[in-house]
Amino acid sequence: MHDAQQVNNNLRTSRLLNDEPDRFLVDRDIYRDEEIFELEMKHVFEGTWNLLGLASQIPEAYDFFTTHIGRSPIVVSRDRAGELHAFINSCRHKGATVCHKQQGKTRAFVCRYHGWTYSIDGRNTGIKDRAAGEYPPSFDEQSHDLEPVKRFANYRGFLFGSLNEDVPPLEQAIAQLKPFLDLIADQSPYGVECIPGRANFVYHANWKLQLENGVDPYHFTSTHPSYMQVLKGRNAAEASVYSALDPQALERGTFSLGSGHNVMWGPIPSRDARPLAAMEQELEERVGPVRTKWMFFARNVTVFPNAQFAENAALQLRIWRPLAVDRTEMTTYCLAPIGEPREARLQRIRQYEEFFNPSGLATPDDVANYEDCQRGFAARQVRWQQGHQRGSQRSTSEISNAAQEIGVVPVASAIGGFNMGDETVMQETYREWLRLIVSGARKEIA
Amino acid sequence: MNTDLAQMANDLLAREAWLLDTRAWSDWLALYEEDALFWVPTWLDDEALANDPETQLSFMYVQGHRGLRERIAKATDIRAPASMPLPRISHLLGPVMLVSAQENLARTRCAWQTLVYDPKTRRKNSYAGNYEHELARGSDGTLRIRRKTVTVINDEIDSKLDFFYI
Repeated sequence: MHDAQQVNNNLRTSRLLNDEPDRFLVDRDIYRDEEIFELEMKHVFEGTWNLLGLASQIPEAYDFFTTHIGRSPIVVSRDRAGELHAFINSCRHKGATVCHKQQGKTRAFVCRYHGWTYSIDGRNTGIKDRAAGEYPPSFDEQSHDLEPVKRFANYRGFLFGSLNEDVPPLEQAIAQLKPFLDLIADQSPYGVECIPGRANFVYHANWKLQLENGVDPYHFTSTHPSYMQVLKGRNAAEASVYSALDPQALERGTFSLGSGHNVMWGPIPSRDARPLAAMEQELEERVGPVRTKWMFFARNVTVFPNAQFAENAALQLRIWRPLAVDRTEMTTYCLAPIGEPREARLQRIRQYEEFFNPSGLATPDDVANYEDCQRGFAARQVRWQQGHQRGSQRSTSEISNAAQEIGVVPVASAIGGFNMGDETVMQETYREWLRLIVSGARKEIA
Repeated sequence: MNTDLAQMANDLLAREAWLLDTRAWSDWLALYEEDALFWVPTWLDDEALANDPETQLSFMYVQGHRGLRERIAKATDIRAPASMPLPRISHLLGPVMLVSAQENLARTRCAWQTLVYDPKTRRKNSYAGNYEHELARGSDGTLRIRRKTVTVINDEIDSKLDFFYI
């Protein structure tokens, strides 16, 4: 492990990004180097706002769910007054995790090791045999509460946390992301909920392969023709949104939304085939025709650094946790508008399973590709990734009509036909990625 | 009568596993009734399996020959990255219990395990759980699968999962 000074010197030479106006390339070491992985965990995941989950996962007092920020195990809970909390899942005494389930309900957390107790909001409520413990006087000056996540905030039911307190306020960090979060939250007057049931998986490749693939239109026709073939074989009554896909006829756009966030968007055929079609009239009345149109677009939204919302026929929230430079854990949820009609909910679940599940007809092909990439990255002599250049001629900082109509001011946009397959959308994300690592490393040596 | 049915059920389940392992997809499909259901529920939490596929997520909920044919088509499409190459699979079934039997309908349970070996990465995985089969005797006297429910105990999937891995 290099010391921070040496790391900083390396980074200051922009070794990792070749960021020229006409030539944006990333060094493949960002996907395969363990020291860079360590820097990412410390300064990206543990250095900025992460998406933790949804408030609707913990609707009642004493509900909780667990997740991670970087390497840190986290509990998110709702207290008896209805307030939400996020704290580190580690007993203040000797460190054991005190919450052992992915989600549930509990009055208190009790550490199984020496019996320290905590309330649902993480406050210490008991130290076993405290009076008999002959503690030093300073013991009372130490907080024994489960350590709160330094920054914790809720935007319309989307919960965010940062282990680093030196971050911009959430409202600022997600300023241009908000219109896209709104397009999810407003699909029902009551917001969205997670369908019960877990379909999680681990893949053997770097987390940034998923990050990129989510906003990669270029891969669809070469990775998923087998899925398209299956859809073509169905009759009209079973039409899926991609049944009539004609890549020549569709538009696709990407926006860089600041702070590493981004979105790929565009119209999809077979609007009637979507579960959301059941609510179309109500949507038009409540949110208007423009936002309804955008709700019927395919939208893949990156919440940098750790999550994406992917929406075509159904809506997925995927949260990734890097386990190693070449191993990534995916926690995935089928989200649905609260109060959705039963028939539409049923259709949504089947369409979700088919496309988004690791046991479905599409995601396995993406995963196979990520793992092939990771194997190819082992060739250290190939340094530069050529994967972020498509769309360069269309990449602009000008505000398009599309951006204006949805109320967003992108840092960069690229809009063209489906076949353009924009890749420039990742450039701003990688600039933010590098900025977090450099500023984090600099603070360490300061 | 029950012995005969138990024997037929046992043979059917053994044959199904063999046909999956040897990738005899058409013969495997023929073991299923036209409107059969192949269901792999997810876990709701550490203890409870999903029990309502209409409101809870499944790993797979495949209806009828039409649905099963789609999965076979996907698994055998050489353009699909996940299918090229296919892993080698070996199914191991525990003793088959006859849970209930009427004249033309039987329910069975058994444990199952698979070894999934990917010749490309030389990685191996093992999945395990139990099967519940509903077997119906047709007019020609043969037993076919009306419903197969597959429980997977190790539900954190390693990369990907297909119908013949389980």
